[in-house]
Amino acid sequence: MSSGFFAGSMFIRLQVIMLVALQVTAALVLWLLSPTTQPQTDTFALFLSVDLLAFAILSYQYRARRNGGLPNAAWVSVGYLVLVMLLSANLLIH
Amino acid sequence: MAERKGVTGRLIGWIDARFGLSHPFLRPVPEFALNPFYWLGALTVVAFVIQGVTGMIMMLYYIPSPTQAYSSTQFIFQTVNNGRFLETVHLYTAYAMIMLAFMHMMRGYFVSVHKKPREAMWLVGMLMGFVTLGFGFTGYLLPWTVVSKSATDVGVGMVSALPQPISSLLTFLIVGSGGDAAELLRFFDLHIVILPAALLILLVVKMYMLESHGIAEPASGPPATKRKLLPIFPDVTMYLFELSLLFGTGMLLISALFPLALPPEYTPLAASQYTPQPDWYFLWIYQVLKVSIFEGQTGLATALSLITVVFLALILLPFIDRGKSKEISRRPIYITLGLVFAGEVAVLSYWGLITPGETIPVEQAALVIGGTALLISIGSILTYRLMYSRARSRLPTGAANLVSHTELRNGAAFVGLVAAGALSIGGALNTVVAVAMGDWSVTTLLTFAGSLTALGLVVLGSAYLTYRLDFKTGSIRRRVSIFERGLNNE
Repeated sequence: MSSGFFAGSMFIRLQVIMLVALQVTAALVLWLLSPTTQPQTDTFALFLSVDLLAFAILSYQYRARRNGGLPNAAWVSVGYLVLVMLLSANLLIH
Repeated sequence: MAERKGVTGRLIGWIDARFGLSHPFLRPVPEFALNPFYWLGALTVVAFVIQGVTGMIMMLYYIPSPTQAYSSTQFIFQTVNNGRFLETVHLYTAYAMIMLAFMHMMRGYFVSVHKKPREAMWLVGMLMGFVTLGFGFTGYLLPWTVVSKSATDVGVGMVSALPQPISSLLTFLIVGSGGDAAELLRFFDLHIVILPAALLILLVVKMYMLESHGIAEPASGPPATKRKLLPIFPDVTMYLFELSLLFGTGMLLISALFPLALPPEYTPLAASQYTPQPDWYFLWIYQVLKVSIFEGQTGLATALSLITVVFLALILLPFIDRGKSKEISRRPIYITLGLVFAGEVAVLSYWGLITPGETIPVEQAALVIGGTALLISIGSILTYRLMYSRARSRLPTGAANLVSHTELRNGAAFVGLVAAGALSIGGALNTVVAVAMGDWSVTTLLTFAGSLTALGLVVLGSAYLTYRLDFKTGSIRRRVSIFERGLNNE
């Protein structure tokens, strides 16, 4: 998919806004947690992982497009899938 | 028209302008190096940084005294926010650091990074590897659990069996004036000050040499200078940043999934009911020491000497493997030896894990160690045959047959040499221990002489085979080129 909406600047902006919002939310949750029990620790680990992974996706998107290329759609999809899984796992814990 | 930059681009530009990260003194990196296998060493450093951060937080609560070490560790586990998680991340990242360092070394071995002009880099890297193992050894004792103290006692006992000057020096370094308190304090000091400082100094030296020589080029293809180069900032830095984030995510998730459980506190009574077992990265060495012929002080010294020889061979690799060829296809002997080493480490470690405290009969050891070497060698030779058959298809039929027959003979000779080597080393060691124990019977001496002769023949045969298998200068290449010349003259 090298053209159209998925390669367009609007799609990239949407992704950046979504990932940054996710990171801010995860950072807020981490700040508010006071984990001494195992479920709270798991929540901490999951949200920290979400933060790191979102950052990695952002960095990859920027680096891939920097030289006029496109990020590998499969890698990006796997990244988003893992993000969804991490957030879902957090729901399962509680 | 001025280039239009987005928010991220402007942010990257701002950082670069302030910190000078893309300054030309940092060598650009060829595009082929944007591959995780090229960054195993960098990921080891990332693991070290995570170790440093988690370790510094734990240091705020930990008390290095035999009476309080366990209770302070328990306090971190139970009371400190994320304390158990912190301990788990620290331990698992240490495991990852050791595993990554091992993978980094093995990759370097297989792709010949130790060859000119990177010999010194290899030596420094090996020293860094030993410091990394030192981190594992010293850190293991600190929680003062029955598991950690018993395993450390085994390690300290091994050190005392080493030859005299080394033994005294190491004992002074790790045990101090003697007693539990002095030992724990020494281990703590080594773990948090001396070893990190040593690793940082070695890292700076290695980074300087890396900057000077550049990333090792692949064995084939154009030189790095003819390839597309990427600036160190932002492209390479961001790539490494992404790898580090993924590594960190993996570590966090593994730590959350498999949280650490604190074993019981060390007391002499608890230790007497526990079978000591070192951590997994020392298990392969420990398994060798458990072989029945290495029992007793002389046996232990013999086993440790053998292991020292293996380590020395690894350290001095650049001066042993001096061939110019870097291609895997042209280094069958060294590649096979590397595979045998990695295979033996894996098999011995697993075997050690499932046989804690058991003495291993010598026949069983010879069968497992020799069998592993034999199986890997046969697998390697078959793979080389397959590789060469593809290359052979490009040769004239006569030359192809010539190479094919020579390969078959060499392959059979190599398998025979490995088997004979395993048997003669086993026989020689057995008789050395018997002689040391006072058994001077004619049979023992004859077996000893026979084993040594066989070992000598194996060494000579291996040297000859190495010459034959060198496709660039060895007999196969020469015979094929004579054949081709003859073909062209007709």
